Amino acid sequence: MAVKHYHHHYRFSYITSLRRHFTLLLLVVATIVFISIIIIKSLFPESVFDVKQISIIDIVIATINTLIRLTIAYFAALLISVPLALGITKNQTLEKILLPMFDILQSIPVLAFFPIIVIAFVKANFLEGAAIFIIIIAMIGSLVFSMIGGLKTIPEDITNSAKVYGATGLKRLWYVTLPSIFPYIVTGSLLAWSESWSIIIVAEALHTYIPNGLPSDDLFGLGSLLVDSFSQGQNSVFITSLSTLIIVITLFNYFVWQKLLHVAERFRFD
Amino acid sequence: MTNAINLENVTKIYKGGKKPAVSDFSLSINEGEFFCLVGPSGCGKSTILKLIADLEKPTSGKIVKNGRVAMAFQSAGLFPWLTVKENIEFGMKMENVSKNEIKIRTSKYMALVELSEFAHKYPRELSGGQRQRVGLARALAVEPEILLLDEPFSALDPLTTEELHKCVLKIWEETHKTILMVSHLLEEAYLLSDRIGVMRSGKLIKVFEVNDKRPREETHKSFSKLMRQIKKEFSPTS
Repeated sequence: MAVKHYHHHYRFSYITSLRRHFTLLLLVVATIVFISIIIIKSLFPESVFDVKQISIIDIVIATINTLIRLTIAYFAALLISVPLALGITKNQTLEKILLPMFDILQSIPVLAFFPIIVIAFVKANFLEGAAIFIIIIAMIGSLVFSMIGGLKTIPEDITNSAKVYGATGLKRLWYVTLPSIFPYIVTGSLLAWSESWSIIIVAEALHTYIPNGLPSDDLFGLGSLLVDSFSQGQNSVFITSLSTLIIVITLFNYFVWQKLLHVAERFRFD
Repeated sequence: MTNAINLENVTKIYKGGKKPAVSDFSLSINEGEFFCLVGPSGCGKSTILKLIADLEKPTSGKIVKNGRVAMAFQSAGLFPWLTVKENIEFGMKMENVSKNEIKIRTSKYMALVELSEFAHKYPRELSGGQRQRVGLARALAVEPEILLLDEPFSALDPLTTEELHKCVLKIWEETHKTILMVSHLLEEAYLLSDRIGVMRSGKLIKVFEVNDKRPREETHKSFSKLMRQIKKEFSPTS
C-alpha cells in the first residue's frame, strides 16, 4: 500500500488517513447538528425543523459562490502580497514605514473597516466588490508576514548561486525567490483562508451595513445563507448550511492544504 | 603567460564595517593555474571570491577577468526543489543555452563527477560529498574559463574530502580551467594547488610556489618545510 508522508514523517497509509479524516468529519458534523438542534429547541421551543425547506441546489450554488469569492480574493491578495513582501525585505525605508503599519493594522479587527468599505462599494453599485475587498484585506496580513519570514531566511549561498548563474529580475523571482519561499506561502495561505472563512459570514450578509438594507441585498453564498436562514427561522436550512461549511472547510484542508504542506517540504532548506 | 585574473590594489569596506574586509590586495593568477588562498577565518578570503564573482563591488581598486566565472559554494548552494539534473541545468537555462546543448553538457558533467545514476535524486537525498559534486558539475556546465571554489570541502569528513580532492584534480587536468580555491586547510592547499597565497587581516602576506609533482602526499619532505614557512606567516609577530 502506498505510504504517504505528512509534514516530516509518514506515519500511516493514505487510505487509513483518509478514512480517519472522514470518520472524524462525520462525527464532528453529527455532534454540531445535534448540539445546534438542542440549543435552538431550548431557546425557541416552538421552532420547527422542516426538511422540505432545504434546497440542495441552493446549498450547492451558495457553496460555489462562496468558493469563487474566496478564490478571487486569495489570488488578488497573493498578487498584492508578493511585491509588498519583496519591497519590505529589499527596501529599508519601506520596511521602516510599512512593517509598523502592518503591525498596527493586524491588531485592528478587519471588520471594523467593513461599514465604510460597504458604503464605498454601494456608491459604485458593486456589492460583490465589497465582500471580495474585505476578504483580500483579511488575507494580506498573514500572506505578507509569512513571505517576509521566508525571504529573510533564504541562505546566502542560494542567493549567491542565483546571481552567479545569471538569474536576475523576473527569472530570479520565478526560478529562485518564489520556490525559496514556497513553504512560507503555503503556511501564510492556510492562515489567510482560515481567517477568510470567518469573515465570509459577515462579508456576504451585507444588508446590516447598507442604510435601510434588506436581506435581498445580501450576496448569495454560504455565509449569507447561514445568517439569513437563522434570522428567518429556517432552522433546517441553517443546520444544513452550517454542516456544509464544516464539510467544505475540512475537505479543503484535507485535499488542498495537507497536499500543499507535503509538497512544500521539498522546497525547504536543510 | 596570460593572466586569467588580475586584482590591483583592491579594497573592500562593507557598509557599517570599521575595518576593511580586504585591503590593498593585488594578485595575478595565470590561465590554467590552480591557485589557493589560505588564511584564518574572517581574513577576507571569501570576500576576494565574491569580488571576482561580482557578488560584491570593490570599494576601490581594479579587477580584470579574462573569461567567464563560475563558483562552487561552501554549502554547495543547491536548490532543494530541483533534482541533481535540474540543478546542473540551472545555469545553462538562465543563459538560454539550447535544449540539445543542455542535454549534452548535463550528461557530460554528471558523468565527470560520477553522479549519472543520481540524476533524478533531490539534494536532501544525497550525502555532503555528493552535493559538492553536483555544485561542481553545475559550475562546470556553464563552461567557465575561471572556476572559484569557496571552501567546498570544509564541512566534509576526511575520506570524502580526499575523494573530492581527486575529483577536483581530475576536472582541472581534463578541462585546464583556472581554479581559485579558498581554504583554511594548509594540507589541502599543498595537495591541490600550484601556488598558495597567504592572507591575514584582509591583506595578501606572501605567495608560495608548490613545485612538487602531483599526486602529492603529505608525507613528502617539502610538505613539512612549506607548512613551517606558511605557519610562520600566520603568526602576528611575523
